[in-house]
Amino acid sequence: MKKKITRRTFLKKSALAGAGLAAAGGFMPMRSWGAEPLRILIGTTFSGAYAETGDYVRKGTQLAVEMFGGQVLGRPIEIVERDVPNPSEGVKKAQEAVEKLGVKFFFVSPSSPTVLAVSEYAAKQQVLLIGAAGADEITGKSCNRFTFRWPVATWGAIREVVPRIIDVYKAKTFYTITPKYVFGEDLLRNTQEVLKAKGLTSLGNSDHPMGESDFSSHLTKAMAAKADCVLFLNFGGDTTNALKQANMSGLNKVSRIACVWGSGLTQMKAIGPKILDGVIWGLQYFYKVEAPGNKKFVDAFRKKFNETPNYLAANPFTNILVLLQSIERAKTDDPVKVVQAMEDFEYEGLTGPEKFRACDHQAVKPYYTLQCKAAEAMKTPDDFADIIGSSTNIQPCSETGCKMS
Amino acid sequence: MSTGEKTSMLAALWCENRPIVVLAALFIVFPFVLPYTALANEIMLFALAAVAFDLCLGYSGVMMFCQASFFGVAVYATALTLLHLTSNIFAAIAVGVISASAIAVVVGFMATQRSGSYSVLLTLAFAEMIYFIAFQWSSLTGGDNGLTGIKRPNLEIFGFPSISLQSSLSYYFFSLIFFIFAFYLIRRITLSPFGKVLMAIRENEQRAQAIGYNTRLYKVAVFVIGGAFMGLAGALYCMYICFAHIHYVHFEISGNIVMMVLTGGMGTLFGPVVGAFIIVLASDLASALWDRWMIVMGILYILFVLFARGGIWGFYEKLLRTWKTQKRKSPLSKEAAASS
Amino acid sequence: MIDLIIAQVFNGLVLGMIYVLLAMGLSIVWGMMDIINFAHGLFFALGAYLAFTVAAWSGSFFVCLLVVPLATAAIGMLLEVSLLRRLYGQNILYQILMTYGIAIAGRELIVLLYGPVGKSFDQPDLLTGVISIAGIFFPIYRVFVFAVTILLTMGMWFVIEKTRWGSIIRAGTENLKMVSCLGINISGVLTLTFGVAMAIAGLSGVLAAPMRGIEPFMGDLILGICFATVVIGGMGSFTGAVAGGLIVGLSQSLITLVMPSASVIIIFIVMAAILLIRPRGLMGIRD
Repeated sequence: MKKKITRRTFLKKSALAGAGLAAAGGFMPMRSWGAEPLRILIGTTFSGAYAETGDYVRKGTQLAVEMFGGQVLGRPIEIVERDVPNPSEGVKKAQEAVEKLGVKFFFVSPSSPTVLAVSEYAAKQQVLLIGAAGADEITGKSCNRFTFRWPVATWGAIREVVPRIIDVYKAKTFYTITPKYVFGEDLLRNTQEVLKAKGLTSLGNSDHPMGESDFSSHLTKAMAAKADCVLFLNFGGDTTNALKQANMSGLNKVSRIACVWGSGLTQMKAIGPKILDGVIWGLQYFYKVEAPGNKKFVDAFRKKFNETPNYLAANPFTNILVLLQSIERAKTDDPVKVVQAMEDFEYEGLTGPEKFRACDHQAVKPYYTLQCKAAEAMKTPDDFADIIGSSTNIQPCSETGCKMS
Repeated sequence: MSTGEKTSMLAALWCENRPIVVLAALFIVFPFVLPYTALANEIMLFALAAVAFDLCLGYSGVMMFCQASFFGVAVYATALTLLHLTSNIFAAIAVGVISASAIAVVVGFMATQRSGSYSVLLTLAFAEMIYFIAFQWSSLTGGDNGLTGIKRPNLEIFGFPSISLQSSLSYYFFSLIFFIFAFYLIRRITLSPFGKVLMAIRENEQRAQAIGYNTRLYKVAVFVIGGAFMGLAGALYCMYICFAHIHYVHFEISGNIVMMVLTGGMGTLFGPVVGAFIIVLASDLASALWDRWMIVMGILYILFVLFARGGIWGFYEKLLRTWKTQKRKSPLSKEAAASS
Repeated sequence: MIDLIIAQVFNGLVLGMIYVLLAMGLSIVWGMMDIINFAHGLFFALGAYLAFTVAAWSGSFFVCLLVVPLATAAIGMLLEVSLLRRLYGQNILYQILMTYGIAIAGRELIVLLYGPVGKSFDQPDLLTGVISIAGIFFPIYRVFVFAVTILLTMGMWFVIEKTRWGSIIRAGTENLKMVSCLGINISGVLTLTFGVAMAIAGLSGVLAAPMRGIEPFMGDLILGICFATVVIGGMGSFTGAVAGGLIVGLSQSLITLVMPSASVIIIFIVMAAILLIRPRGLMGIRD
């Protein structure tokens, strides 16, 4: 008796499944009439520690496409937006983009593990990837012909911020609070190298596990160390939390506070000038940077979105714009040719003249150190900090560990 | 054997295995009907993991939250094998399955020390520990960057020319062979005397013990068998995506597999396949449409508990039964009954 | 060095008291109603988010302390009457599935209403700053939280040990059927008890918000710790919840001195050890 049910059940199952599959197939996008759009995959995230990124990436991308005219090589530009909260999703969405939609250009932000995973896949599929993350190895030992990276890597970032703090604040002893990510360890390693080169000491380090929301134990250790400066080597929501709790525990009475990897305005707004007063920030970009390219961007962004842009929007903006320009210059959408067009080409960027150097596809641009001011000293609602220094630090090609085939 | 006996034997074999043949036929058609092949691969490998877990939960009543430990450890083991030891595809799969089974023996032994929610919490604690170790031991596992540079090997059987598995489609069909074979094995287990004991343990463990079965041993065995097949899924997954990462030992993977079995219909083997199909497809399509699509999932889980305990498969079987009872009440069958 | 240890012990106690509050609620629900509530973390998050809204609307933190627990109690009771009631006596799988579904739906609803980015919530000006005792800094707000949670715990102890309702809860945790045989309206008691448990969970969310920040996944993250706390302390026991919470809090802060990145996993290691050695927990009443 059981066998009979099984048999019929299976035939029914196949009918049901068949109907389901047909329905699923029906969700496939229709081919549009007219010129085939040029598709760019934008992989970003809307949740977790980087939750604020998604919205700004969208805005920056939109502005770039608009400023470029909405068309490239006579074809409409189509932005394919996908949520990639972890590297596994990153690879899956990359596969979908290539297999289902025939996408040839990727922009992925902001997590280093995700960029690394997609970078490998992109190289295999000969798809151009612009990765917006800071791990050294993206243009170092894991570099490849098809991956470009705009933000300054941890190597360069630390070599601007830490010496600047030593110079301006005469800090001799440091304590670090590091998130237990590979990226956090990169920041720590570079910090320790810089300190050692200057003959200075790190009084200690406290690793916090990912997802740590209570920093009290780490802050207590930092305070007990009584260092001249406490460096927060975390990022995103973690930094926001850590700073607020640092203020609550009175750390600013004992040491100077510095954060080396900020995302800019939105973060500053979330923390507030009361807590920010006197804090030192290392940033990839700030709206106050004096460069003609930046002025155009800030004005256009303010006009379109009624707010001042931050790094999270600036990053996709400049990269998509440069990508579109390179496609136009290469006169083709073949990623191999576009890669050649992008390498070593100097353009007027957000920080002044910039270029992606050919040996590792890393953008040559400065990193900025800012100091935050008290609420009374703010001249406009966005005037959280002033730039106190900047420099371009980039490893010589031979030392990055990058071997491009 | 006479021809008559042979024919009836074949017919019986066909009857018993027709469901699997239908399943295989469906999966063969899959990659051509779905929007892209990689999705079919994803569905199939998670279906395998879900079916393996159904053996534990649906047939033996053993609940656990460490599915990702078995799946993810196999992903790592296969990745490390391909990176450092050999490019033989069968060796890579074997290492993956054996590693997962080894973990399953340890976790199974410890978890079966207790029963009920305590046992489940023990599996949760061990799953968290394995995740932590994978995260900390970054020199081995790559930490949160994961392991890249994994090359998918081609199929090399001694004496035959090498078959390329580099395209999504060819790798899909290669994994499909393992999937169907694994499904067949698991099904055979459920239909065997061993399977009957498992079901007895599920129904009433104390009574099974009273009859004289060492229920603890059976439960550990089910951990190992389930773990081995989840490991197979993991090993194949590693070579499909050519990437290993802590995400694959994270609780989220375990949670997804549990949901696939519960919503598909536990204790049916085919239900979890449907569950995997629905959940993987839904998360793929829905996430492109609405950022907050998970709210629908949450509501669906609630509705399932309220109205469709048997999962989709159970719902479908209930429909079938009602339809059949209607048919039985129709005048045609009354006539047939009258004339018999 | 001793300064550091004292400061960490204080941190651990404050952290622990938050866990005590959460464990109390979870333990009562689990011990008495026999429901594994995967949505417990959601009410913690709800407490924090509602505090954000109420503070913005009323301008006062202290109003939140009063209003938010009432709100979470109401939501909890609504949930109990409409959905959770059907889970009594059911297979734990269905309890997990339904409460997990509620947790997911609730979390996504929070994101829909408040956005995916975390919110900023500061302690009131009155409680800002630090006091220095013997060179060690103690944040005033944390001292406040410690005091409030101690008072609340003592209050709950009094209610559970010395009042009639408390004795019903204790009896119900041991044997629910017998209690209804004694003629007590069980469904009313259960609803009220669930409401109280969710009120406490909501309150702990309000108290924790300035310390930990507010973000949509805060419920998910704390849920694992809640379960570990109840297991360690012992399900169904009030003193167990207190002991469990303090042990977990202190373990987390003290392990930071030795191996900081292990502050989350240490809890699960202790939980596994307890489950293997003494599953009833330190003070649990039954296995």
